[in-house]
Formats: sequence, structure tokens, C-alpha cells
Amino acid sequence: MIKQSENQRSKVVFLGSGRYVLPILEILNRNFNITVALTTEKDKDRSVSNFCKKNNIFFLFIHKFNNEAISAIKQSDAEIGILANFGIIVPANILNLFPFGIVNVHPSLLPKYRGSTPVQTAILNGDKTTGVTLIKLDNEVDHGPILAQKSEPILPDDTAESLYKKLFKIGADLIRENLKKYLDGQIKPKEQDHSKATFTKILAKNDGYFDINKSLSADTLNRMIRAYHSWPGVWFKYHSERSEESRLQNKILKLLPENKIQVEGKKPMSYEDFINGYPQGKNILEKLGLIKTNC
Amino acid sequence: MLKIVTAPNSVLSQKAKKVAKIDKSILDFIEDMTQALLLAKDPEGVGLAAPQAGKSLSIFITKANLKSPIKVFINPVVKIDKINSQTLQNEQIKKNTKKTVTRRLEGCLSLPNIWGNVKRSSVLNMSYLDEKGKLHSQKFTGFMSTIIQHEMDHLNGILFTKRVLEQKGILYKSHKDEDGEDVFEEIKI
Repeated sequence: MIKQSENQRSKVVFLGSGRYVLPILEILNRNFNITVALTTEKDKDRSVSNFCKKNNIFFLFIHKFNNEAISAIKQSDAEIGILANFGIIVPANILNLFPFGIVNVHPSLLPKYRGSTPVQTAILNGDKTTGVTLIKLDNEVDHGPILAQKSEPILPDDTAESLYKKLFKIGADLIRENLKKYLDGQIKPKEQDHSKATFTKILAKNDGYFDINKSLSADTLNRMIRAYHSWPGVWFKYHSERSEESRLQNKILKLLPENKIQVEGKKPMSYEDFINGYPQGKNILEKLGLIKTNC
Repeated sequence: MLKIVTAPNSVLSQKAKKVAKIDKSILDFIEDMTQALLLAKDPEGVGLAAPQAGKSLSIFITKANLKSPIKVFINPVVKIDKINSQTLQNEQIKKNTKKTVTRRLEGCLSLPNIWGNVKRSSVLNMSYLDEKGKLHSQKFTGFMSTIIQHEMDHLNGILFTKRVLEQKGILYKSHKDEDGEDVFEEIKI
């Protein structure tokens, strides 16, 4: 790799939130000159702001593109913006502030799974493969032309959390391989095949709730557990006409990856401990299809 | 990008040479190691030693989790609590209330899909140079202590599989079955 001194590096603005995007931020910081970083309420654990503090990168925490953000971008003299898991829609007047526009790191194989929950949706649908796409942002959501794309298998024990982590690392690698080439005019973005576009919906906390009396297949339940980890999680309310399991009566039971279950107010436990600890434990897990009935 | 060396390769089994001078070529090499570690996934890397990047030099880097910064260790020397596999072997793990030995499942970027539990000292003291050439003397505990001992072993030409075997532990190989499911299988030696 050719090393460049600080002042030869292309100036970029980073727009992103959350710890999964840290590898992208690290790679940008090592190969480019991040003049400004913008982050939003989606940076709940303050990963982006803490990284910027540690590495002396100027950053702003914004709710919308206010005057302060706009003047920071203008003054930054950046050639390009890099966006990953940002949390705010970018209006056209902001896109125009960058000579090379804004590149979005989207964790799906676009045009499949546009929108905010591509990873969760891929797991819910039982897909065997997903991937990451770099696109140039335009005025519609995840609609812009493609700079680069890479696929990644979805493993049977992958959760949304583990997959997001891997996909943004691949995104960081794609940035490292392609951003300079793009700025040098060696990559021509390719229009997406819009006829093949699919869309994902925003998740709400309630999407993780299910009624134990309405039958869900074990397969569907397993996908839900992996797709909704760590947010919003998967849970149901236990209710029995008989009173022999008073400790579970009307309690919320949360289903976790790696064959774990959590009773409201208790720590997560293995299925085995749940069966040993609660007389109804075995029945509940069998009813959900999470353990096989011994005939 | 820099390719991580996998076993068998002689660079992994020799003792690494001390870094004489931290010059530009060393710094460039550390930078390449850093980017390789940052982008390692499946398994995620928490540490990388110079021999794994193809150079027999006394350097390793660590990154314990997504949020922790990259730490660079040049010419590291473990000062006390020298790890003696013989005493580790005989020690009861939960004998004392104060834990002196930790057992963790380890893997290695140079041994894809191989896993095994290794007992290592919970605490260690080490002196080393950082990338600016500044000398540090520091105590490490917990996960960092495990990572450092794994990387120190690399600098001495030792892979974690050797530790597993001398502690009479079991090595596992993971592979995908027809359904793509991860299966762990005991390796019979």
C-alpha cells in the first residue's frame, strides 16, 4: 500500500452512528483525512463521538442539517461524504455540497432490501447470502448507482448483531479498496436494476412480541430470535389457567440466541436450566418447538 | 491488503527478532498489520503478531473489542509471573477465591477453524515500546492478559494448539455441514 502524508490525503466528511460503523471510521481515519464527522441520536452508545474525541476529529451531534452542520461541511473543503447507519435522511442541498457526492455503505445486495432493516429482513427471510453495497446517494432512499458490492454468507447462528458487525467490516474493506479509485475517476457508478428493488420496513418494539397460542413454526421463531437480537428481542407473555407455575404467571419470557431464555426479572439462562428450574419449562419449550419432544 | 500467514509456515515457528530501530518501514508494516486486524472477521481478530504478517519481528498489536483502540507492543518482555505451563497444569482453577488462572476458548487467525481451551495466567507485568519508541512498564489483567500471552507465544514460535496439548486439553475443528451449520468435532491426535 502506498502511504500518503496527511496533506496529500483526500478530505472526507463522515456521517454515521453506532459501534458497528467504527471499522469504517478507523479505515477512513487511516487512509483519508476526516475533516468533519456528523453523528445523530442513533449513536446511542456514543461510539462515533468517543472515537472522534480520542482521535482529535472535529464532530457535531445533530438532529437535522442545521446551519452549523452546513457551514462545517462547507468549511471542511471535503471532496466526498461517507455515510453509514446515519439516522437522518440527507436532503439534496447537502448532497450538492460535496464535489463527489456522498457514498453510502448499505448492508445488503442492492437493489434488494432498501430501507432501514436490511440485515434483519435477510435473516427473517431465511436468506443464505447477503452482502454490502457502496452506492452514490441520490434523492431516493438507497436508490443511487452502485460503486462496489460484495456478498457474504449468512451462517445459521448469525444474529442481526453479528451480521451487522461483519458487514460493516466488509464495508470498510470496500471503502479501502474503492474510494481512492472512485475519486481518481477509475470507477463509473452503475445504475441499479430498479425493477428488482425490494424494501424493508422500520422495526418497532412490538415486532418482537408474539402470542404463544398462535402457532409459529420453530423455523420462523428461530429466525425471529436471530433477526431481532439485540433489538427489539423476541418475547411472549406466559399465562396458564392452572396455578402450578405461579412464578411464571403473567411474566414476560424473552427468547435469546444460543438456546437461552430469560424470565422477567431474572438473568438469561440455558434451556436446560429453565427446564430444571421451572416445572412447566419443558412444556413451554416443546410447545414453541424450540426443543424436540422425546417420544 | 496484507495476507495473514496460516500454518504450516516456518515464520510461525521461529523466535522473532528484536526490532533494532523503529523506522518508517517498521511503522508502515505496523500500519498494514493494523488494517489487516481491523478488517479480520470470522473469526474476529483481537490480536496479531508480526510473524502472522510474514515478518519474524518482535511486534504485536491488540484490539480487545470494537471500541478499544489499537495498541502496539514492540520488543515486549514479560517481567514476572512468567507463564510456566507445568504449574498451570497442576493448578486447580477455582482453588483460591482470587483467580490466578483463567481458561478461555482460543482461536487464531493463522489456524482457521481450530479451537481449544487454554489456561493462562490472569495477570502479567510487561515492558514494551510503543510505536513512538516510548518505554512502558504495565500490568495487564483479564482478557488483555490472555491476548498478550497468546501473542507472546507467537513471538516465541509457539501456537496455542501446543498449549492446549501440553495442558491435556481437547482441540476442536469447526466446519460447515450440508445445511451450512457449524459443527465442532474433536481432533484426535
